[in-house]
Amino acid sequence: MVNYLKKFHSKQLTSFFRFVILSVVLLLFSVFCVNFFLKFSHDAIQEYVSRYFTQKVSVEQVYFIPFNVVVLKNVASSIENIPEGEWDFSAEKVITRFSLKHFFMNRIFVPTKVDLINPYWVCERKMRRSYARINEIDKMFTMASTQHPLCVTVKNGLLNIPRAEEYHLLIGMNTSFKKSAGNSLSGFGSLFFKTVDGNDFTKRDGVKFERGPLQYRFSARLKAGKILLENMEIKKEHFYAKLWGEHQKNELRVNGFISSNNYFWDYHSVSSLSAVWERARKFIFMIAKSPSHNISGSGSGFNLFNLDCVVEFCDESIVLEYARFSLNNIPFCIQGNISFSKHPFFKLVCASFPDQPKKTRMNNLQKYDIEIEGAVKEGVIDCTAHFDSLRKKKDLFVPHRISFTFEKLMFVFPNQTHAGVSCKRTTLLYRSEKTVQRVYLGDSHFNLSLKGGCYRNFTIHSSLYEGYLKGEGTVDISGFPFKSSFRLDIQDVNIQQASSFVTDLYQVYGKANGTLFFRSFPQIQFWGNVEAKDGILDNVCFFIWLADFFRIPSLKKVPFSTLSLNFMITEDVASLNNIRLISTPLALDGYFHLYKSNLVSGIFSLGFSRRLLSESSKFRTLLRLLETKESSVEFEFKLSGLFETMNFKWLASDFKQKLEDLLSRNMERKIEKSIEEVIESISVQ
Amino acid sequence: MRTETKTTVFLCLVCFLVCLLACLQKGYPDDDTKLYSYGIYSARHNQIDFAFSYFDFIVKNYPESKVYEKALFATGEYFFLFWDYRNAEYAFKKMIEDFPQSEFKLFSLAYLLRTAKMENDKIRIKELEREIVKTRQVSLLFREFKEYTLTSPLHREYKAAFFIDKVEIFINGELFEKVPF
Repeated sequence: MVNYLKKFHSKQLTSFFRFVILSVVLLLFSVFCVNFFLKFSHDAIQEYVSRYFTQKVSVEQVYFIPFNVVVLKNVASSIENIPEGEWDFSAEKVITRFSLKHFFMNRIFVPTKVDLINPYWVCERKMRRSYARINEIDKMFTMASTQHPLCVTVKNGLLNIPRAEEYHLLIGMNTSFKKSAGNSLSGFGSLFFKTVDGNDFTKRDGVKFERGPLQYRFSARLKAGKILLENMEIKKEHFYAKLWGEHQKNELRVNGFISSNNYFWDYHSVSSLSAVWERARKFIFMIAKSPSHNISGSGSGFNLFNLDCVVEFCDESIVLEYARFSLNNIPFCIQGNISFSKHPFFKLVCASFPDQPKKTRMNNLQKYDIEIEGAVKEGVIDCTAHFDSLRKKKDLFVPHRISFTFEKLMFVFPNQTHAGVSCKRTTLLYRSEKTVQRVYLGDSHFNLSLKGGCYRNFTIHSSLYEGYLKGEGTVDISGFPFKSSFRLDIQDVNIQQASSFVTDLYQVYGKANGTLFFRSFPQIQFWGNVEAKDGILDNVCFFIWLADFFRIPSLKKVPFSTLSLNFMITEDVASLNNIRLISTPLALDGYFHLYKSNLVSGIFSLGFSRRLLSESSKFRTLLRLLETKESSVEFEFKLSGLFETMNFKWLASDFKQKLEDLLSRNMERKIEKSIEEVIESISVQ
Repeated sequence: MRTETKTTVFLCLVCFLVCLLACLQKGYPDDDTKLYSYGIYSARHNQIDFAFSYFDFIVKNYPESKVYEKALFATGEYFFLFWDYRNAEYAFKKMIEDFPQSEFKLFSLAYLLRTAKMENDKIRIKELEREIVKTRQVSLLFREFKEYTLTSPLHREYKAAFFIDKVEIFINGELFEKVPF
């Protein structure tokens, strides 16, 4: 019996094995045949795909994997009229799964899933073509409404946006789009941003994607030629956005809200492609589920609510008809347009309280008007930005404007935790009721930390008036306008060129070093110390007066070895302290304060060398009369009163005492009267 | 009628006419300068109320007079002395507005500063102190302060001492206001 069973089983097994081997052989043979056919039809397939996507497509190899997988290896494509070899899209593999049912029954090739492995796009330098791409995606969505269910995934995708010759902005992505049978679309994914340096960057090897990406997911429906965006969520650490809307023909309407450092912190982690593994890992290693924080306490951050936005896609431009929203309880409206013509340009206008009557708005301290206008050329931006607001001065609302002009500006992302701006030339202009001040910066780099809650650190490096500026600071983004504080170190700055910022510096020649501090809250304060070495004071107002008064012409041009001072400027007072001028013919030190009420207070000590004084006919006689033998004579005087009509007092000194002993009362009165006349004439000037 | 009776009647008529004419005469002379001199005279003899009446009459009836400025200041002084601060303020403000270059401007400002301090109006106090400092520019070479003096129509001695960092105002030798800056 056992032998019979053994024999029976061995026969069955042999048949089974024979069947399996035969099947495998048949399968292998059919796979071989299919692959041979695909190899033979390689050009035809390439041509068909090119026709279908209306652009040049190159495929290195096509092969079939049972039972319904077609793999295209090393795919590349570009829009027509691009020289061969300069592909703007390439992928290591395109794995397409197709429906066997439709293939055998209807004899049509219907893809059900497309995986793009390591795709690589190079963004067109000419933005027209990039915009054309966006329009194609729009057409594809519309076409997809008539197609069968389809799932497209992108694994390790990379978008390269080249900038001038130095930087490449890379956007990495892992994403999945799915269109179901009922015309609904959904998707999820993550994006990474990075800027790399390299003149000949063409390969994406070695680009590592760091953690902490921008995650998103969305769901939409296709209906009668329009796309209804039911839900779109974007999340990154403390940032969350929820949007919905619709897209029809050329118009996109979006509503929603955006929150940062506030509500919805750590809300619903967006599924990633490795979600299954993540769940399995937690299950296997018994990792406790962290409590979800759907809504946390109201913190200090950004809240953008009631977003209502309409965007129109025209042939060569995107027009932002309006975007109305409330940002931290301040209503805003943005309008603008971006043109992708031969010379791309953009313009954006933003206003707070846009619906408020003009008269009321002119007395609203939260009235902000922002205007940004610029052009894009070869990946860099030339633009101008104006920021208008009001300041309260006694009972009046005084307008003031801050303007920036950028030449060759570009955004850089050195890593996931920092974003930055690099610019060849920047002009800062501050204009108020009576003041116009300008600062010109050369090659500058600004970096902002994206981590740190409400407090973000930043650094700045720039060339400044033939010298160098380096600084670091903090900005508090919990409220608007932002509060900031920073420290700047300046080196070898040409003082005369800095007269665009402080007019009176025009007559000072030399190079300055120093440290400057600034704080905007609770009140604006600007203080620091500056030192200049080996320079010249040429026709400085004060020294012209001294030269005329003492009849010493050489005082009009004073070379100095050291000029240093500490300064402090607040809303109430502008102070110059520890003023020190060391020069061969004279020495000056003292302090000077100018108050908000236009009153001044200061003490100066002037030391003249005997040699300098002997230049003056006045003093030669005086020195002889006084029989003074000192090598220098000191004058100490005090200033007070109004800035335009300062009071002057000669303080006590040995020289003064000797003079008083020498002169009669009448002589003293006479001298006082003539000095009064001189001082008054200077004040009138 | 007897001659004696006729003469008596005639004399009575003449006296009656003279008395009638005397009654019809006005209380004040027509000339503003004369009025002003009467006021000065009264002030020198410590008859301030009479002095005020003359000056007040000038202010009300002779706005174009060359002594209007001094009369106006005098009325302001009088009001202030008798605690009528509202009218005093009105008079001194009018003084400053109508005569910005007046020698009395500084002391008018001092009176207004005192009333502002009584009302504790900090903003006005700062403005008035600034105006006081603005009135004079001094250069002190051999002196510690510079003095400005005058005598008002009400015969009060005013003195202002400008130091480098303060102004002191005296009335009749007593410190009235001090303005540091």
